[in-house]
Amino acid sequence: MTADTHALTGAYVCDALSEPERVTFERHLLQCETCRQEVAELRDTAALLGAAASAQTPPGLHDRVMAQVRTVRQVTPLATSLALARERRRGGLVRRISWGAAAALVACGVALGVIAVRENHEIASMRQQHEAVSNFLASGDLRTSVGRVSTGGTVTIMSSRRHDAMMIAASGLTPLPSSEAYQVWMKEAGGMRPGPVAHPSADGVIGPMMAKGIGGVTAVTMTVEPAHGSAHPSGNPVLVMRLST
Amino acid sequence: MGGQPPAGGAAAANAPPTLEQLLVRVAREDHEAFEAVYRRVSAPIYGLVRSVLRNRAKAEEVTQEVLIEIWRMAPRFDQQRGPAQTWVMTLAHRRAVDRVRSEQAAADRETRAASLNTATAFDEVTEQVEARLDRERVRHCLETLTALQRESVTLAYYRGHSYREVSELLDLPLGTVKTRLRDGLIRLRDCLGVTR
Repeated sequence: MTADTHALTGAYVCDALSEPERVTFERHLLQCETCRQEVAELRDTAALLGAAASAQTPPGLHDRVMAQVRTVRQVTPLATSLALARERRRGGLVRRISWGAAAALVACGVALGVIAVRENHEIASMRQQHEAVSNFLASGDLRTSVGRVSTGGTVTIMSSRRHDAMMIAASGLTPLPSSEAYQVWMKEAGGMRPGPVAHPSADGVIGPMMAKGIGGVTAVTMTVEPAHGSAHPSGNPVLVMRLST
Repeated sequence: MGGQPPAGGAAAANAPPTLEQLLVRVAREDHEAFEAVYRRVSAPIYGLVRSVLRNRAKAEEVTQEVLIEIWRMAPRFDQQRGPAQTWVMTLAHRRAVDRVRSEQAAADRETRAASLNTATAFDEVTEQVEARLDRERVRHCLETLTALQRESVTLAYYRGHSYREVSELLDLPLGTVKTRLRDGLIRLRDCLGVTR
């Protein structure tokens, strides 16, 4: 992207961009390592400016916060929730282990399922997604791969082993009717695991979107599927990318 | 004290815990650690949020929300990604700006637009913000900026204006404001010695 977009690091860090500009800029960040570094440093700088504006808090705030905290449940750590999501996807697991252990796992799975639902709900909010994206981009071990889509367009994948997650964005894709969408697949030893499903914008852009659990993933592919995605790839892949490690 | 190097962790036993260490404990639902976090960050959060919202009651509300969010999200704090102070203040700034924007979308958009046009808006901003700076270093570094850089950074960061609003306020082209914001922050970064 252009030097013009790059110049937005300052405005981005000050939360001074409009929503569409912010989305565009975060897409640019995916491809621009220098920008990510600059954003991280300018964010530290802005935090110092913020801390310098310190002012005495109103009386009563302390007691209200401490009381409210007793009623608020914390989120689960990202690593835990990613591992759980993966366990749940591997449906075959229970069959291979003893009945006692299976019973324990099922009991556990019920409790964990509740947490997962709550988290899906949270992730639905735009802010959370925004934070997830910007936190992910700040990871130190990001690897970037770019692949060409056979029907047109390119896909950029950034992966972080430490966060056990990848971020996928695409541009220049062939537009699809509303009944169809692009679906990403993770190639693992056990076969193809379904990944995120997205309908491209009118100008052929998707994402950025996050996919979790990349430990055993050797390649990423993409197919055209019905609008809500499929459990197994139904057509030939329009993209095959080996994941750089 | 017998010449043995202290076993892991014991070395820092007497030093106050860092904000990072406190957050790790908060992530295990340690209320005592959260109390200590409150003591460290509540005044900076409140000061910044009040600077953006310019209203004590709203600032108090948003500060409370931010502190609760810190408690709730502590298990996701990852010190590999940067200092705890950055995590906390980024959250606070974003929340304050979200509040301003959602109110703008609602009824008092026009009131705010009117206040944007008063010629004195900027002078007032600078005075209030700089009077509150308790860190001489930041004050000093702000003074090293050009007037345009300082005005742009102040209006966007301390006042939560979008860069479009800043360009209207200062009657400058959008591109100029973008550049001034970035150049200003870069100069501050260098002056404050921030590196990653």
